[in-house]
Amino acid sequence: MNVFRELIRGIIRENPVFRLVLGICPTLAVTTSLENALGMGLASTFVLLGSNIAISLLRGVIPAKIRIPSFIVIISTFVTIIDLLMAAFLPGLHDALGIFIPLIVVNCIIMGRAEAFASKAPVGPSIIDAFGMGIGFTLSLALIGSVRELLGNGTLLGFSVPGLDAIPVTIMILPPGAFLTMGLLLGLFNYIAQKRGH
Amino acid sequence: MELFALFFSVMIVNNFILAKFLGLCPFFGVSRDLRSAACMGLAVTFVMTAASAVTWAVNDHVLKPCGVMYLQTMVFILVIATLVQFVEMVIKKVSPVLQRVLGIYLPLITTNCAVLGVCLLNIQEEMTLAEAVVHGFGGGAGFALVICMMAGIRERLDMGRIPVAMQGIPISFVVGCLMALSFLGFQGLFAG
Amino acid sequence: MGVIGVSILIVCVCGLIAGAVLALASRAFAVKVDPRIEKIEAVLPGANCSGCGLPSCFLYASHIVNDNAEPNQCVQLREDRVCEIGGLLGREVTARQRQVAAIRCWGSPRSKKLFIYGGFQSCRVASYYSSGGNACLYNCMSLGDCFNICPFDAITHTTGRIPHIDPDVCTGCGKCVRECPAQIIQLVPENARPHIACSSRDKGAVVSKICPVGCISCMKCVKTCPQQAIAHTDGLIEIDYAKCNSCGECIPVCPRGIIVDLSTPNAEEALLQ
Repeated sequence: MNVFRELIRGIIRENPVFRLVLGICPTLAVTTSLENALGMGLASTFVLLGSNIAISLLRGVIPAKIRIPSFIVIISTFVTIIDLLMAAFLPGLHDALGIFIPLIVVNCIIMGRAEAFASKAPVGPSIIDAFGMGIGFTLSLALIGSVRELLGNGTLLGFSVPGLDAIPVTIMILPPGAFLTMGLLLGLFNYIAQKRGH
Repeated sequence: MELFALFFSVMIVNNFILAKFLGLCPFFGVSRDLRSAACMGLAVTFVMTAASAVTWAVNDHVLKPCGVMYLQTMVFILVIATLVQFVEMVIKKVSPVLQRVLGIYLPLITTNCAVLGVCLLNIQEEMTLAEAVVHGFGGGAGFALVICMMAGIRERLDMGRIPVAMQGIPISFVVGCLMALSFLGFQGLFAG
Repeated sequence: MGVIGVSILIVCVCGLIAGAVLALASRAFAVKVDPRIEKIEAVLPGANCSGCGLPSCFLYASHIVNDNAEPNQCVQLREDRVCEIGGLLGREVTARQRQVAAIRCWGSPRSKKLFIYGGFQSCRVASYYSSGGNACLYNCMSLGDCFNICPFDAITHTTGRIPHIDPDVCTGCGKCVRECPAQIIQLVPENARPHIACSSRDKGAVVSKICPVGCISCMKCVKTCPQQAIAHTDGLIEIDYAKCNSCGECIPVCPRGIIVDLSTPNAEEALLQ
């Protein structure tokens, strides 16, 4: 089914973090724990979905010359919405993610998908694309977040993992650990892609 | 004196790239050779300083009095985009030399998280105008410093024997890890 | 209602001000570009090879129009294109003589080796290790830096053999001249015949021990040349191509056979026998 293939595309072949290497800033900054990573991933998915739908609906109306500022306004609207929602209903997560929630507006993934896809396609495919990319992004963040939390804290989603919590490698939660995890995972996925002949 | 400490703490201790994770996309994208890295660093420093000043002023005189702090994200990003485009036009007219050096990097900086990040941080940490400008300038200087260091390393990185899967971006991340590790040593400097 | 109204009002006002500022600025800071620059740029090859000395064809076109530079500095343009530019500028221009690159060391496969170099396969890196392990410090290390830099694929290269520059493809842009770490590539006029294929500045006694085809500074060529185009400066024999008329009298005179005839195909092979 076409829908399924489009979804999988965003998750595997064109994974925004590990294949397209977009949106690295939030990826490294918020993945100190799996919970934060999931929170950021879902927030970005919400913004991506909202902006893709809005831009796709308005694609006939927005003049070409001012399309970038218009996209920015639309995306920042959704970012502000999710920011206020999280501040009200998930204050712990909101404080943990800090300024990276408003920084979703300059996330290259969202702007890139708006420019490359949503402004040219009808609403249906735009929604599927948004879901694909968003889920791919969330899963990538979750992967990095769980690695860092497991090794750096010995916990997963706050629950202690026996054995690992006795020897936490604190550096994994600090910036160097973020860069290292990302680099090695990127290398791993490059290797897998090579083996499959991409 | 306090401003001095702020400048150095932002530039080295809380480096925007290695400690705060802001501005990573150009860090890996533009740092292939020293020349373009230096030009990018210069352009980012300039934009960060100017944007800090202008957004602080807009926040203080427009957003706060009207009680619409939630419009920060939207208004700031609009202001930054306008500022960068305006600066681009002025530079093109006034100094072709500067245009040749900074020209292609200015549009890339509009969606740089470092610029929006520093503007939001200024407000979040309730800085005065002077502190905000120094914060922006120091942040840009730190960015420039680290991107030039990375460019210098990457120029020589090709001479090593790197496994094919790690070539290019992955090995740069590992280099970034080592740089971040060394910058961790600055923790505690200018405390308070 | 009040909050919604205020928000909408502020965003609209900000947008309007931003738009107004940019519209005014685009008019106040408009830069006029001379239309001739674009036309001349269209005639130029667009390879950005910096043979003219400027980093891009656009800059060279601007240089021609704004600073009255000579259009014949572009190494790739043939006569008819140069005249086309002259027509756009409304003045007479003459084409320059085409130059091609030639490597000034054809003997390094036969010269004495001090050690086998097994490091990174780049001439520039090898040059840090005693010229790639060769007893002669001015040798061609044959690791292909010139081959890599040539934008026109005029150079063919097999490791261990001297790279071959095809004079029909070479445009004389000079990139290989600048890239060679031993600085032994030279630009010679297109149809020049004699070429001294040795860059050694060592004394004759030293050269005779380390290279069977190296120049021993015997000065026979200097004395033979009817145009007195060959001179011995700083330990190096050089042909002054402004004076040389390619009569070829120096070629058979050299006892080592190191003055080669560029018009003979595969001249490098002949030397290495």
